[in-house]
Amino acid sequence: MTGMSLRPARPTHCLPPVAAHPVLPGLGSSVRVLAACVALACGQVGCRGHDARLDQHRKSLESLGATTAATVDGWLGGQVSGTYARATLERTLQLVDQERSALATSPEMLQDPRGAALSERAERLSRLLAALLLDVASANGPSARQHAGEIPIRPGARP
Amino acid sequence: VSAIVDLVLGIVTSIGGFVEVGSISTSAQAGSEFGFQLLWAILVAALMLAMLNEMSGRFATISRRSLVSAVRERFGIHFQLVPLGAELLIDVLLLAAEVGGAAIALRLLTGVGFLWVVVPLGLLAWLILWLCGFSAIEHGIGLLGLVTLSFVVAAWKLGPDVGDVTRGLMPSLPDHDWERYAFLAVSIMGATVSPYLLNFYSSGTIEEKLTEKELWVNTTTGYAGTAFGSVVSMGVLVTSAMVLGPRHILVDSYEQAALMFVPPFGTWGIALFAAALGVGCFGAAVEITLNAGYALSQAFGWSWGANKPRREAARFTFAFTTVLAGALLVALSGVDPLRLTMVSVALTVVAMPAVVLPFLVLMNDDKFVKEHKSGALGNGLLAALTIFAALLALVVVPLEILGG
Repeated sequence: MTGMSLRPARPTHCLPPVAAHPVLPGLGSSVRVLAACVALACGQVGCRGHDARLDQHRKSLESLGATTAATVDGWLGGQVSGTYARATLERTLQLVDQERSALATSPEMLQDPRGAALSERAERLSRLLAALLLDVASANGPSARQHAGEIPIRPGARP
Repeated sequence: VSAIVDLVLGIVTSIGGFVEVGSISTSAQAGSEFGFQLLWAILVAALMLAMLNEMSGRFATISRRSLVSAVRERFGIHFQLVPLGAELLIDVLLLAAEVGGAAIALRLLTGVGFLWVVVPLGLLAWLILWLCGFSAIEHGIGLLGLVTLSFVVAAWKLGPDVGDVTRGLMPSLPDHDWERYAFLAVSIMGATVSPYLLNFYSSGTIEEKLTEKELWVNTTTGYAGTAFGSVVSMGVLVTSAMVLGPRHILVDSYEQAALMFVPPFGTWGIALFAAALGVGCFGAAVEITLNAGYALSQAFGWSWGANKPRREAARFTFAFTTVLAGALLVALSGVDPLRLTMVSVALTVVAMPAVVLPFLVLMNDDKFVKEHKSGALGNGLLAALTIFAALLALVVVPLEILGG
């Protein structure tokens, strides 16, 4: 974390645009106010787009964490077979990897501390899913129970 | 007695054949994300489908022509190419998604990799079409499809609040993610009112040689079958809302959707879900393949019919075989069936006006429907549906980008 502020700063790209010089010389003040409003609105839309995407990734990863928990609970409780549990954990791992790559290929997301934290938790979930797959394949209930308690991203939980 | 047997079989077949990959995925997603709030979309879509089914059956009974044949005759081959091309493209994508859905159902039960079973499933569908007549295909699939009633049983066992369900049947605005809400509402309609169903229904009416005296059978089957069938879709939505919603599980895969059957059915849950998904998807795959053969043959004036010996309908057989092979190639490319489904239903919405508008003209043409033309109410509803379909077609792509 060296060199990185721990303060949850507002991302710089979300700041409203500031004009250093008169952008529309010769136009009336009402037109300038309107242009400024449009620019501000565009900035807000862009910012909301970033936040909405981040929220979407968070929801998807929380859903995948909840899926992992429900699948392992079902397997440990004898309600779902090992075949189903493996198929679901494999598919969940694929979906987590898709989310991770979507986060990792977006500099905007990684620059945002919230995106970076999400990406890190997604990576931990990936590793945990790999461990759970081995647990289910080897029918190792106690290890699966322990791993299920370490799911790094769940609905409602915050880092 | 024979008409009553036909009626009962028709209704049972409609119930069993209602749920397939599109309705399961859209209803499950809607339930997990918005609770009961999108039940109204299923109700509206079912009303639209019932009306269109009844009209297409009536049209085929009186005119002795399927929709595709009549569109070609009335508007010419150049116009015909637009709805035909759209229908075939959607058929191929939807067929790939259905085969993919059936393959995932097998994977849930056996653990066998998805891609290993795609070709055997395609061959099985082709063999059924090669060996069986129309009634055996339709009623066999419909009877097997009754396993999808397990969605209704699941919802019943979970005991939803009647007041909440009733409120869900009234359109309302969401308190979050309105783009996603609107996209799912439109997708539910696209998944329910699929163009292939209309031509399949009219072609089936001709295959079954329904007479003018038996029009009441068509009307009752069209409305009652669709009404009961839509209850199965509502069962998917309610079960998903009650099981997956509170756990914050979104439906990004069929494996996740299967979890909705664990609380109501316990150890039988996954097997039942796999059976419902597998039978629903495989049955729809057989019907879509058959419909692709119908549509191509009827558009080009070839001999067609599932009841005809294959030698007498060689081009029809070649047509459905080619479409099935194309869909298997798409499925083998490894595209996620759930995503393919969502793209297919969005395309269905885009193509809907091209299918519904000619139908409005045909239902008012004396040459085809004689004195059985639609009345003011039927015409008004169909015209409203055409405008509604055009509006949906305009908004579905932006909604897919924003909320898909």
